[in-house]
Amino acid sequence: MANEHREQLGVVAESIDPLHVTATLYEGIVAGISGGGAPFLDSILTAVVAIRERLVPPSDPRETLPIEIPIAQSECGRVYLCSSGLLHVQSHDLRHKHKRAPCTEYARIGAAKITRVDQSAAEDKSYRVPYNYELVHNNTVEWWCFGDRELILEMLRDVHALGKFRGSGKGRIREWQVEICEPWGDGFPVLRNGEPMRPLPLDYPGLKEGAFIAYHTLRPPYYMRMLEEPCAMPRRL
Amino acid sequence: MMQTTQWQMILRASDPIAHSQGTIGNKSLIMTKKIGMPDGTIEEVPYITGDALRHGLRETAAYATLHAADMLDDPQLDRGALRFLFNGGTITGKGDSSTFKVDKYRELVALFPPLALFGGCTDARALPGQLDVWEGNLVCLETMHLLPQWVADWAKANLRETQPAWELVEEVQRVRMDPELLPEKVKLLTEADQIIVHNKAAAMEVARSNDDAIAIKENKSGMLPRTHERFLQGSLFCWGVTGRTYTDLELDAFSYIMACYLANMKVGAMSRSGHGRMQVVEGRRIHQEPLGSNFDALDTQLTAGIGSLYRSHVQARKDDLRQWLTSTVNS
Repeated sequence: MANEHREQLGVVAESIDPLHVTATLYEGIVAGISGGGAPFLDSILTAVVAIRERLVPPSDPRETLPIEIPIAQSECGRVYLCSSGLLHVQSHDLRHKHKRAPCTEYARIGAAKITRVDQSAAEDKSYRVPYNYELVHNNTVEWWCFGDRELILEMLRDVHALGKFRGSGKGRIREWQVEICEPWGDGFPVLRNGEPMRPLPLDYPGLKEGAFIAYHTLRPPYYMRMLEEPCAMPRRL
Repeated sequence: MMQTTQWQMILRASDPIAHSQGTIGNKSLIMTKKIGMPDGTIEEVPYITGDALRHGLRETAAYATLHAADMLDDPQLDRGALRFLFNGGTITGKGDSSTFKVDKYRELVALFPPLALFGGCTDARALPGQLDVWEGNLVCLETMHLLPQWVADWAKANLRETQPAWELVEEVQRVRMDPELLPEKVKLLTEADQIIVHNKAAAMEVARSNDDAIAIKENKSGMLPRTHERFLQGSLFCWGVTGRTYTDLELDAFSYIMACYLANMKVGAMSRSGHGRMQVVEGRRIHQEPLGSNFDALDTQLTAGIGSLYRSHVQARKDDLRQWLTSTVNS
């Protein structure tokens, strides 16, 4: 439960193979995280460790703890050797998230001092936030990485949904597959023909010139914007 | 020890279910979503949102906890506490979010175990929950490939025919009557108001005979016919909840909340006028363990013994819980 100091969190890879990881979804996913696209495999595995250890999600770089996951790291140690999640969006659905003040309960079981509820401002403001629900081609999300197949598969058993709004049924996973694959050549799995397959440092060896550059984090937790730096980004699909 | 428990079930609509996504004029439209079909096409089918079902569970958890703490007779809850219990609260901007007080979190989870299950905002921080609540998928031709295998098998064995989704939706009309059109109600008015009502009726007659659209609009009654789409009574839905628990207390709380919700399950709007009741037809509880899963039939799990640990835990801390919920909660 607590983010207390521990000797080592997570598991270290015992064998390293080139892997192709596939998540098959039941239905759609709300994937608009970290500038769009599917969640990163390294962040999913880090989250599994955090969930098993019952850590509270950090909101500040000072709260982050070193977590070991069974994916190899680059020689420079700045990135995990795994690609961004690849998904082909087949169809979009605009949906809305509603939040309303519990007005009936205010009247029924609230303190007598509650005499007025302002639903247009402050804490009781009602809101209706749009979000994009995406149906993906073949219902699959894919990643490539260098890692320990058995350990990764064991960890992914605890991942039942991907993306945002998992709590209300989005991104449910039907099946995980982790297969040893044939690498496509130099740069596997983070570069293909010199093009980045995940956010990479600008001086990453083998990176082709002219890559799209944007601010992004290089390691989990990816949502921590304070850790963003200029990165070579994969092209949006 | 962390364990993941999944409840899967088939629900039957004991009443028609009114669950709308919006209105066009005075027609209310049923909630729909797009689903990918096995042949690659996209279909739009009606469903019940996971948000509505999750809110039902959250509300049940709140009332069950208040009941266990003997607080429902005179709750007197603070605004922040009410928001926290019934919609997960909000980041108020008060307090220091950069420092997370782990002891305080532990204290709150001990006082109110559903915080761990449902998550919520307190002390300037949003905490994730441990429950993934599925959307309520209609058991119909279009969704057959999305259902767990046992549900598809059950449907094959027990249904004479699986219907297309839109065969399970009907459109009905309701009218809000204008009491001024009923002579026996008009007699209840003051004499002056009765004259106004009679004059309005007379003006309407004149307007109609003159075909005067403006005057007709000015004198029209307040009668409001409107239509809404709803799921047919008897429709079947597939629903599930995946919960991650770390202690026996959390597992008992999760089971108790599920049992309370399913015992008196209502979904959607118009529950005061014969809509929304649902009942379990068949279900499974699945314990997912690192090297396999085991299955129980749902009915053996929802016995009278469920929740005794949870209720005694809350009962033992009821004074502290009352003090917290009636003080100023930062949520």
